[in-house]
Amino acid sequence: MRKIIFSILFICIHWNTYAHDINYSKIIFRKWHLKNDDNVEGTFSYFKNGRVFIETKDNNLVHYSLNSFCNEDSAFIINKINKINHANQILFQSNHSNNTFKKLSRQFWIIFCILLFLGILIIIVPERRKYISPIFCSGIFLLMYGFSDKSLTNRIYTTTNPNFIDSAFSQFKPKLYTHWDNTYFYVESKGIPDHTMMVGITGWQQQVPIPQCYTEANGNNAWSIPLNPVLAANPVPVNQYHFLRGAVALAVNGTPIFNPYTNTGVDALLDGQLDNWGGHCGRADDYHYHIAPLHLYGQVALTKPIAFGLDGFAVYGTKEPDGSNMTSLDSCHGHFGSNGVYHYHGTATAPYMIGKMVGQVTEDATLQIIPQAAASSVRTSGTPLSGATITGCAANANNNGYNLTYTRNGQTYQVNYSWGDTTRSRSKYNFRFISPTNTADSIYVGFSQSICTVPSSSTSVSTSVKKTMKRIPDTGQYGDYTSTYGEDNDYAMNLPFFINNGNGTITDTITGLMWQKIDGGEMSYENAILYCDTLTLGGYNDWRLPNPHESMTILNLQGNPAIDATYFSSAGTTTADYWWTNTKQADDSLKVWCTNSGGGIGNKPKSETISAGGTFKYHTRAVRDLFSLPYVSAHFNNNGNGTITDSLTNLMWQRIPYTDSLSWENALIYADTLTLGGYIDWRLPNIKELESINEHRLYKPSLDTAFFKIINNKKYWTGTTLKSSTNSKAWYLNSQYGITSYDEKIRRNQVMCVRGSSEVSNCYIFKGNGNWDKTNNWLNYAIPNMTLPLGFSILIDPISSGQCILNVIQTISQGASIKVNSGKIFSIPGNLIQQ
Amino acid sequence: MTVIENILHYLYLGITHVFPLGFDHMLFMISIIIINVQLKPAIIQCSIFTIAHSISLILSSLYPINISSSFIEPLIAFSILITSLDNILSTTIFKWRLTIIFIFGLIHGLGFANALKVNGIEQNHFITALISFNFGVEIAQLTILFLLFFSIIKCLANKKWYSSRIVFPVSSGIGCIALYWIINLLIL
Repeated sequence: MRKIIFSILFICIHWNTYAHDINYSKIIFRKWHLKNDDNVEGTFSYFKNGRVFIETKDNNLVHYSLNSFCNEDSAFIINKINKINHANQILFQSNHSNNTFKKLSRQFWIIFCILLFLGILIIIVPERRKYISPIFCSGIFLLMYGFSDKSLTNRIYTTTNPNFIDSAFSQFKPKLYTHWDNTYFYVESKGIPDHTMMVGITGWQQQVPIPQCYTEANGNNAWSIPLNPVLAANPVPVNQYHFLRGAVALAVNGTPIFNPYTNTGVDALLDGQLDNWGGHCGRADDYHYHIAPLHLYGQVALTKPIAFGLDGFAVYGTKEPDGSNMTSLDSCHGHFGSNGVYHYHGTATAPYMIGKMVGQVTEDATLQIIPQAAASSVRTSGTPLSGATITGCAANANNNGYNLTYTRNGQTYQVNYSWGDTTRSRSKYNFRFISPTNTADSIYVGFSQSICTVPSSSTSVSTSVKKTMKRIPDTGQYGDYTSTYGEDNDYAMNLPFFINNGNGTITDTITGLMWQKIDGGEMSYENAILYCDTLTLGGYNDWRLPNPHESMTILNLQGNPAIDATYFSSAGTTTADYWWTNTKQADDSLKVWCTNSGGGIGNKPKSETISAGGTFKYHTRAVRDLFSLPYVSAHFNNNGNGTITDSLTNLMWQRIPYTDSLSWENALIYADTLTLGGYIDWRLPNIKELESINEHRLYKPSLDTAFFKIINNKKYWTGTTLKSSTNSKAWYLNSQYGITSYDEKIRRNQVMCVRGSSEVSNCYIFKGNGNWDKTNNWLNYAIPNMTLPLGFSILIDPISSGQCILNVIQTISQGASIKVNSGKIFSIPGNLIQQ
Repeated sequence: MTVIENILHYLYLGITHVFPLGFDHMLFMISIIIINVQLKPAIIQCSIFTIAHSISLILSSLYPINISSSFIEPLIAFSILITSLDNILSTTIFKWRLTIIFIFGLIHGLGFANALKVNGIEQNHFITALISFNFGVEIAQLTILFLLFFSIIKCLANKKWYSSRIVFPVSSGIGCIALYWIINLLIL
């Protein structure tokens, strides 16, 4: 008898008995009554800008203002909106991770009590013992199985390492921006992939791709991937009845992936609705895939995920994460990997990617997973256009729209659409329909909508640990080379401040970067990459080559070699002529950007170093701890008043350089007297600041002309003097590729001004004459705290004939510094305490 | 969708929710029925169960009570375990068995309500939908009752070994499954 009972038990173990799914064969439409006695039959879709969008029976999206509905209907709508908002709020507030263990122990005690009760029954009712003990034994067995390591830590409450998810998305930065907290991993994108879109569609709904604002700034509209996914007791199928709206997964290029069935319940692929990449556009002109984007494996390693389900589990392709071939899949279209964590696999046939959501998700009343990033429409949605085949969809010349071409009945049609000036905060969307038969094009003007930008992904950081390269360190130049106001020395921003960690590494407290103290010596470029990849130093193994901007930040323009010898030295007895960066010249892969020991940066042939048969010493200095800076224009914002703000460095730039060329002295005067955008504090940039807006992926010119009216192959002055015996030359940036070099100060070159400092200065500068405690002796009236904290510095730079008198007690903490410019007088009648 | 279509639709949902989708409800019904050697007490117990789950289904549909299914489903499994233990321990029906069935009925009703909530009932078909769903559940339950009673119980109930070879082993098996569900839902 006991054998029979056990066999029943084991048959049932794999029987998913709690499938309470209700499958609607028909969707029930609501009849909406309007105050003007009209009726509409359909389902509530969404509410935006005071208008209610209803999806009608024949799948059209119509909208009415909220108060045009009868009272009963408008109450229903308000109730619905509140419910959706409430559900979203709960999700954002919930936090599984903290409760996991508490919850588990509570569950353990519940089961323990049940088993105890059964045990007591066995003792006090001996005549029925043989019937109760099977239940008791199977309970004990299951409890032991349930609390075995494997099922507990790996199978039920998976905690995903955010760095793992980040590594999957990082390949597509800076188009994406990622960050995370304890609950979710957030991805911000505009939903536009790198590849061509739309081409190959034969079942076209007349929708076109428009960038979407899947950003935090747009009302917390970033994509959210749960970091603590929980396996669902009853995985909900991704089919014609569930998840018909919105994404079920997010591809690692930031493009959402929907249910293979469209919201009308047809298989989008088989219906010809998808382009050659498995995507198309939804009713808000939002591009999304409907099947697994396996084509991404052209860019992504086969052992890396190409997507993440919105339940938090990764999606792979034909290979397992460990590199072996894909093994058999369960009904959810995935399985537990060799690491004990569940993952899905994308295949070319149905169900393509996710059969059932294996993790717990919340589906709202409109059949979408929440939280969900929302697309936003700029026009009323289109209808199917039978017989049309899309043949082309190319970005237009201004890069602010697309020209979509399709053929129908042997004739070619076009839809050219654009969103005007990308630099405006709101923009109208214009659609121009060109038909071969009609002489006049038809024009449609869509709603205007906010233009958003994906934040810079220079750093990909969790919100709890924020490290950014927000501050550009000062050039270190303190020499006075002209009486004209405005040269490099007249402005001190973030004085270089390094900490020697004592383990062969140096931390730059301004940028947060960690550098190699003694460089790796002379080597070829190929070996430089290999060297960094294999370097282990100070307990870290994530060393890499710096990018050009990072490489510039540690230069010191007062010295030659232009690097602080207190902190940095070269391997062996040789000194470096150049240091490698990770970036090649945009149009010549034989040339690599290198900083030179004279203080500049240039595109140098790889063959020039001794190891490659040349005569110069190209050294490698590895860096770590921050992600490489992306394209710098990703964080530019055109303010529309002739100025550009760099949101990373907080510097404001002159959009259109001075029309004429000027000598260096005259350039200083021009900058000092410039009034632009309501500001008068313009100045010449220093060499590091000007270099920070150079875009190494661009050339001829190398600054982004979408923002700056820059002319190719011109020299733009910096305020930094070339330190030499005569000091008669100053540094410039050449706009052809972005090399920095120097020219006689009397020569006439271009001028582009900057203002503001990079974020908050960590430096207090004594600029006046007399007592320490007089605020007007300090730059910007900023007096240092009585105890100067770590990372801050004081620069004593009184006027030429004056002096700085410390008449109070000033404490300098460990890790803070005080510096007196050469030739300046600092008298200390008070107390200066250095800890 | 006409009213008739609507009624048939929810009726169908109600039936399929017990059979074949609601294996847990079926087991509960079996463990209630199997101990009764006569039809009358079996019908009484089933009716009490029906009344109870109708009450909680209607109440939870009218006044949204947010009890998560992660709480209700283990409770349903627990109710099955208790009824099966009751079957094993008593040859005669406990007086409080009816009370227990009523309480468990309320819990099962919440389970039905959660099932209905998956897609939500459109408000303008609310009452029809609710009643037809309930009827569907009832039809399925009565079918199980009559099938079980007339095929097995009526033939075997007068045998001496009915309890020891049918009621106790079957209840023991149901108890095993119920305990498996509890543990599965809570920790596996």
